Amino acid sequence: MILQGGRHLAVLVAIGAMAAGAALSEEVAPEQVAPETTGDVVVGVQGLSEDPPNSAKFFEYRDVPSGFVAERIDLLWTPRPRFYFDIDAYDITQKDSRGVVELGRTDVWNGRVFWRDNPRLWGDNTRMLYNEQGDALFTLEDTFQSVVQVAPAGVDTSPPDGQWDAGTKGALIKEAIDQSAQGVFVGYQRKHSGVGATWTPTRSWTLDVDFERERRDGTTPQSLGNYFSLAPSEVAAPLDFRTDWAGARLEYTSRSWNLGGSVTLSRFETGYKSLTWDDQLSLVDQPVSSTLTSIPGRERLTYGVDNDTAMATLYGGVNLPGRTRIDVTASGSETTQDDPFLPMTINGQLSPLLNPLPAESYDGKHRYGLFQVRASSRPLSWFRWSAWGRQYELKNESPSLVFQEYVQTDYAIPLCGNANACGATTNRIQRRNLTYGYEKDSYGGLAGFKPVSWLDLSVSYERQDVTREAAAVEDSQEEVSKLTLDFDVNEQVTIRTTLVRSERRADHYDAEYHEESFPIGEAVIAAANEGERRFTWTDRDRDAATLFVEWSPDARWSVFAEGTYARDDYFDPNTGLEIGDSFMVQEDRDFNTLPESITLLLAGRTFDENTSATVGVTFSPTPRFGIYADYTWEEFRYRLVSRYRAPSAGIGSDNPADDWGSDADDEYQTANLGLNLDLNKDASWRLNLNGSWSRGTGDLTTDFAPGGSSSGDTTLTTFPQLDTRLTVATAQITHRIRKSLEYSVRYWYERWDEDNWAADQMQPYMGDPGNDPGSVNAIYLGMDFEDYTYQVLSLQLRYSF
Amino acid sequence: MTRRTPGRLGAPVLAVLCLAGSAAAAAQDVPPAQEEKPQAAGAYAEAGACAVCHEDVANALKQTAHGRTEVKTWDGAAACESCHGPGAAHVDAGGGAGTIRNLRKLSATDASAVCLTCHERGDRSHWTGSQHEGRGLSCVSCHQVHHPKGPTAALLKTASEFDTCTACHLKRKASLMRSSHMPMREGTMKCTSCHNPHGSAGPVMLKQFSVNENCYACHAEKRAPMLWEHPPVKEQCTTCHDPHGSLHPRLLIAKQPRLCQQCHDETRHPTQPYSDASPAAEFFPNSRMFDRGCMNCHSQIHGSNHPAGMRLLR
Repeated sequence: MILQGGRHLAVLVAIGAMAAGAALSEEVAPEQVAPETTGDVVVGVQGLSEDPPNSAKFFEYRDVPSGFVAERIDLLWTPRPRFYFDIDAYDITQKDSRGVVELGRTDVWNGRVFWRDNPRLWGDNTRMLYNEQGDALFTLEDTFQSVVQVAPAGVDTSPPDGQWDAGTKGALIKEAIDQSAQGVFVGYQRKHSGVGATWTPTRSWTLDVDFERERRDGTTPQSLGNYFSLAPSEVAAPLDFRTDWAGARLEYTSRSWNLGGSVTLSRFETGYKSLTWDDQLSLVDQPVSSTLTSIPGRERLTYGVDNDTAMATLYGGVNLPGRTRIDVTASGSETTQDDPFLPMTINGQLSPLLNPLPAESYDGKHRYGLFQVRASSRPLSWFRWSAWGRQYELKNESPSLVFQEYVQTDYAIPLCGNANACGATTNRIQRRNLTYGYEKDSYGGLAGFKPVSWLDLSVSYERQDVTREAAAVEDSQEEVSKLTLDFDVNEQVTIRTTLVRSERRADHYDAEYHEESFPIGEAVIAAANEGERRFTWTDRDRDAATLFVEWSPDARWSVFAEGTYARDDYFDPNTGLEIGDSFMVQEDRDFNTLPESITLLLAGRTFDENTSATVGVTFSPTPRFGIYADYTWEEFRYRLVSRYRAPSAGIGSDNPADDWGSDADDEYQTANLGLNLDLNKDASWRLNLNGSWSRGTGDLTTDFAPGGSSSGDTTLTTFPQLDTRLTVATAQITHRIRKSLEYSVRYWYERWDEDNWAADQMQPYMGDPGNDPGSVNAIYLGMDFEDYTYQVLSLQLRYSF
Repeated sequence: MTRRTPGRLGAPVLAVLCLAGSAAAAAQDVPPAQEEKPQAAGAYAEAGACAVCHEDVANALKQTAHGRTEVKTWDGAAACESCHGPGAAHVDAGGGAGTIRNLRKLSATDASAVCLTCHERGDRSHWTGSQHEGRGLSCVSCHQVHHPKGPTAALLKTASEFDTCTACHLKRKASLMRSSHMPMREGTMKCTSCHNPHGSAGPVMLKQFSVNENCYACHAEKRAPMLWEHPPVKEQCTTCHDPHGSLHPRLLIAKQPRLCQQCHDETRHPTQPYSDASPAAEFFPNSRMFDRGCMNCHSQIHGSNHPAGMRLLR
């Protein structure tokens, strides 16, 4: 922490010296004006009551230290007229320090330095069985792996007591974790800083140059893609990200038009390109059967890709008679990467493969383009209009490569499962990557009227045409109609309303578009549900409305309320049916020349809905006293329908008895209350009280087809409620001793509680004999955010100069 | 149920409305409602004349960029008269509200036009026609030139930028308190980290040209073209994440695996409901439900560059 503060202080001192030098070196006739220095310094001491100590959730993004704190330095130094040196810094000695230092000559040039740091903590109680050997290599003890390798599979039979039987794989892994897993820190520090300068030689010309660097250094929780669910793992993986930006902008402004252009270059680099870990089930690669299946001793995944971006933008606007302005923006950018491929597998039992990789590296390129024109006009005091056109595209110029055989998670080379689908069953499945891209062209217009002083209404229409590559929907159109009605009834009452209706229609939905990714065919016939409709692409109707009302009966009172509602309903472009409905097709899936009747479920999100309501009041009867209170309720609802589809004889099943659905309902409530009071007439004693309470709840319910049995998972229809609660309260009393000096005593209470069934019981070992045989060999971090209650008492001194 | 094809009437109707309005304006043969940039007629006052009576305002202004600049307007006005117009009549009259331009008394359009005289450039180039401009806001709706309350150079009317924005965007104030949130409450980010309230060429007044480009500004590791891409990731981050806050980890809009199952309906495990767990005290859900859900295995959900990463496991 001291080092952190020292770094920032050194920067400030250096910049101060530069400022002085710059000011004195300017060839300006000395003027008989004394230098001016104004500003505030806020420093103090504080103590914490921590329950539990070092709570990761409390310190998730911030640093709240005990002891000395330099909360703020705000300094404006004017060494001579028109020269300035300005510091605005917060929490200087802390890990979440931020600030900006500017110096310059008014109207001519400006130099600036900024920094913005913050920690990022991921959880408490983290323990890791793996040892990190450096270079993102995670190992397990060889003896442990050997013992697990030869041990029998985990079973819970003698006795069936909810514990793996002694000596089985599950029991051995659990025992090793209990005895050997070590505490590990999972978090990183983000440091973002930059320098920039602006030169305005005349009022018409502006030249900006900026350079920024962002670093993230530490660890992050990384789950490890395993071979199916046999050996799930998680480690605290090292993180070393660096992103640089350099940019320049030049703009010319005249009385009636402006034209600018900018260029930005950015590079992202990661210190770790891959992550390798020992498989808990095998010390060395070992064959499992006479086929191509084998257990890898080690596994490896890609872990970040370096990339570069270059962007050029032109923008400008012209003001025409009739209060008309036309804006144009044109921009093009390119993001590229060319990282070498890792070998297809690290598993020696599977390599070398019959077919080499089609390329040494992936020469990926995304090109983004924007062209936008907008005209806006207010030709009359009661009428305005605007019209716009916009084209935005992601052109994917990356290669589409064919991998003549691929390895499934270092475990197996998948073979064709049905000769009718992909030839001989000994064929190795081929894969081709699909290059997704899209173009969105939209245009629209708005007409606004103010027929009387208390009413403003507008209607607008926009149409968006979207074309996509490598997607289920290649062409779609959306029309958005909007009506706004704003009432300024009198000086006391303001009403703002918005109504939106949009309809998105696709020309056709091809749920099996991804078959292009299988050059010789898929391993299973009808592997995809032909009725699958992804909500991002399929037909959608959207209705939305907002209402905002503010009533201020006099200068003391303000009462306000807001309500919002938005709902999306989804449909099938091919049949017009709602998602969730079914329809019948005739298909010869078993290739006996006789088509079978198959009922397809239109699966996916059926609707989503967002509703909110806010009420609030502020009351300030005198300049010395003010109080505010508000309450917000918001709800998100989603529903999905699905069908469990298990391949049988190499053919995907479609049984309506396997249909199921699920509702997700997230609800939030937030209340705020505050008071500001000057305790005496000259406001030398002031009291501030603020409180806030927030609660979020999440409910998941699941329903099944009557009489059906979706993979046997029909025992539970409602999950325990996810419940988070945050309470924050602060009380501060301030005494101004003299005009330039005051002190404050502040008490800050913060409590956070969470009931999260998905995380509360996280342990490094999560194997569950009764319910989840797939987790028998699990090695997790066991990370969770603990509930916390923190109290902070601080004494602050503010000196103004 | 048969779905209708969307109508094609919206654009023509709107165009007719606009043309009708313009025609009406022409037919009435009236001048535009206001001058191009509202100017007050008359002579300029002596330098420093304003501070004689408005000393507190003048002193406060000195602390701001407006008080330090010597740049004149295109009409040659300087200092207070840059915004308030020629002040000789006001001085000669010994004051009086009727003899000087007061931005608070102007319409929103006229008040903003005064500011845009100098500021219609750079990040403010898109103000005209922006959502805020269209809803009747003006520069002085958010900014206070003489006595700003905020600590920054933004000259805000309130103590913080967040207070300014949430005065109208009420539910955003509440979303800040959610369990999973951007570091706004902690001060590292603010609304203008992502949005340009003065209008932009991006959607929903984002600073960049698309949602994803906005996110890449901080999450550059997600922007690389990948061998195996996840289409919704490349199209819009908000398909899965709510940047304004959530009770689910990593700002996800819904609990995994339900979030993923809203799209994935292939064979085998994506279509299992994963409900085979006991809600008892020793609750152990399936490994696809607890911790990171689907991402316990599909950890490369934002894309993979591994030759064997087509299922985003590598």
